[in-house]
Amino acid sequence: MNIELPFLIGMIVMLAMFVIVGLIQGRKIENTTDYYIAGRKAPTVLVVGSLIASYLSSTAYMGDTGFMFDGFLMPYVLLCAVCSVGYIFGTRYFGIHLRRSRVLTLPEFFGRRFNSPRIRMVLSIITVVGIMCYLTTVTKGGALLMQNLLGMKENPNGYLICLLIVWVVYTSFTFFSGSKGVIVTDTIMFFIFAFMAFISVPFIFQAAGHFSGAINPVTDTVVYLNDAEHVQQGLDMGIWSTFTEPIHKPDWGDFDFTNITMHLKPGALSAGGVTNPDSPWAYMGSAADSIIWGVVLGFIWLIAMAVSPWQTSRYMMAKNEHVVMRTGLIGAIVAFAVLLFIDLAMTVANLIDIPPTASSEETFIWMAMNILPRWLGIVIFCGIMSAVLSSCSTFASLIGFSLANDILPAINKKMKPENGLRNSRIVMLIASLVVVVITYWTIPGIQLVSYFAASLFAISWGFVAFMSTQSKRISENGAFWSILVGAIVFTVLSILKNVALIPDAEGVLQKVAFPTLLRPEILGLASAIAAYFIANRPAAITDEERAYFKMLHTPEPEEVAQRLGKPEIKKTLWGAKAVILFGVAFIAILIVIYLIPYQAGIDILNGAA
Amino acid sequence: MYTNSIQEWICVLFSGGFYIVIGLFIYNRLKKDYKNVLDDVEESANIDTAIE
Repeated sequence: MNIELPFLIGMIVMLAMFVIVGLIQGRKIENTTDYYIAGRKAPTVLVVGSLIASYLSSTAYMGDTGFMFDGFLMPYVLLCAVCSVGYIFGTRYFGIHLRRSRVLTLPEFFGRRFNSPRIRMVLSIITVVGIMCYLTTVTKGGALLMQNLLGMKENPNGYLICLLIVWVVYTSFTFFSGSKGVIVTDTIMFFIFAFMAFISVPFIFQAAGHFSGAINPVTDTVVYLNDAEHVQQGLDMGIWSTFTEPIHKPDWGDFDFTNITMHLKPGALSAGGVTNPDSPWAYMGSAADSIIWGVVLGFIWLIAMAVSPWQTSRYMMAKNEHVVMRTGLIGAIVAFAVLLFIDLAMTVANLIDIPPTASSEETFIWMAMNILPRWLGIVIFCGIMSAVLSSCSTFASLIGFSLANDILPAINKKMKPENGLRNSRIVMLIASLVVVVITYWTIPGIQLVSYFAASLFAISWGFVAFMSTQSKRISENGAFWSILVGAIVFTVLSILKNVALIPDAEGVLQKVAFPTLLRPEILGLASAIAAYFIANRPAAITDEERAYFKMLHTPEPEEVAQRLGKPEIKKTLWGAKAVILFGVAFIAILIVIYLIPYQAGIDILNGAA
Repeated sequence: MYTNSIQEWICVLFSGGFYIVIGLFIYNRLKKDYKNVLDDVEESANIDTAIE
C-alpha cells in the first residue's frame, strides 16, 4: 500500500470538518421542516453553493474531464452553455411557485397540485430509482478517488474499504443534520472545488504548454499553431496535427501507447471533436453527430437542471423569492464558468505525457498526484472529494425524504406524523446502505448512468412540471400518463441502446443503434408530450386543483413587501444583467484564446501543405 | 483538410449568444413581474381608499 501522506492528512482534516459541521447543525434540528428544507431560511450564498455542489460531482471531475481529455471540447462547451441556463428557467417558471407551495418534497408538490396520490407515488418511485442510480455512480467515483489516495488500487479489498469510508462520512453528517447541515457543508465544498477548478487551470496550462498548441508525437515538442517557424519544423518531422488527416495509420495492436498525446486525436480542438475513424477516440461518430449530441443533451439537461429533485429542493430552502431568483441567475453563470475552465484545462492536458495506466476518467486525479505542485494536488483531491460528498449527501437525503414522506406513509397508514423526523433518519440510513451494496456489486460507467438518471427526470416530468405551474388546462389524467409513459419509453429505449439484448441474424446479441435525431431522450420526451395530449381531460379539473393553481400564483404577503423593496429588485435585476455580460465576456475570451489561434493554425498548415 | 474555422465560430457565438439572449429575456420578464406586483398593490390601495 503506497499512501501519499500529505494527501491523506489533507483529506482527513477536510472530512473531519464536514462531520463536525454536520453534528453542530444537527443539534439545531427541531422538526421535519428543519430536517427537510433547512427551515426555509437559507440566504443566497448557501442556496447557490448547495445548488452547484449538488450538480457538480465525480461526474463532472472524473467522467466529464475524461470526456474532455478524449478530445471533445466544443461539443461539451455547447452542452454546458445550453444546460446551465436551466437554472434561470427553473427558478422563474417553477422554483418560485414550488416555494410558495410550502411542501417538503417534489412528489408531494405534484401530489397536491393534481390532488392525486397516484402521481405522488409514481413520482416518488422515479425519484428514488433515479437518484439511487446517480448516487451509485457518484459513490463509485468517490471510492475510486479514495483508492488512488490510499494506494489501494492493487488491493483486492481496496474498492470495498474505500466505498465504506465514503459511505460512513457522507451518511454521518447527512443522518444527523439533514438539509440544515447539508446546505452548509455543500457551500463549503462548493468554495473548495470552485477554488480548485480556477487555480489548477493556469498550472495545467503551464505543464502542458500554450493552449493553442499542436503536438509533435516524435519528439514531444509542443508546436505553436500561431508560430509559423515551429509549425514548419513539425511538418518537416512528419507531424500529425490536430486538424488534418493522420499521416500514418498505425496498427493499433503494436502501437506504443506510452505517449498518448493529441496526435492520436486529430480534430480534438475542432467543433465536432475527434471524428477521424482511424482514431480509437472517435466514438462519437461524425462532427454533426457530436455537435447535435451536445445541443440535444444540453436541452435535456436544461430541463433536468430546471426541475430535477436535487436542484429544486434547494429552492424550497430559500428565505424568500428574491433569493430563489438570484440563485438561478448566479447559478447559471457559476456552473458554466467552473466547467469551462476545467474543459479547457483537460483539453490542454493532452500535451502532457500521461501513462496508459490512467484511464480517461482518472486523468485529472493522476495529474493532481503526479504533475501539479503538491499543495495544489491536495486541494484538487479535497475539491473532487468535496464534490462527491456534497452530491452524495444531497442524494441520500432526497432518497430518505421521498421514502419517509411520500412512499412509506402511503403504504403504512400507521406511521405517525410526530415520528417523521425519526423515520426520515432511519429510512435515509437504510437506503444509503442499500446503495452501497448496489455500488459494490455493479460496475456502471460513471458518465453513462448519471446522464441516464438526469435525463430520466427531465423526460418523465419536465413537461408536466412547467405545465403544472403555467397552465390551468393540465388535468390529473394528462399529467399522470405523461409522466408514466415518458419514464417507461425512455428507460426501455436506453436499455436497448446500452445493453446488448437484440439478437442479429447470426444470433449474436447487439445493442440498438438510434439515429442522432431519434435518440431515446428525444423519443421519450416526445412520448411524454404525446401521452399528455391524448390523456388530458380539462373538463375533469377539480376545484381543488384550480384553487391550488391560484395559490401558486399568489405571493405571500411578506413576499409582496420583500419584492416591493427597490434595493431588492435592483439586486435581482443586476443578476439578469450579469448573465448578459457573461455571454459577451465568454465570446470575447474564446475569440482571443481559441478562435484566432485556431484559424491562424489552419492557414499555416494549409499553406504549408 | 480544414479550410476555415466557420463551424468553430458558430459554436462559440451560439454558446455566448445563448446567454445574451436568455439574459435579455429574463431581465425584461423580471421587470414586468415587479411592475405587476407594484401595480397590484397600488390598485388595492386605491380600492381601500374608495371604500373609506
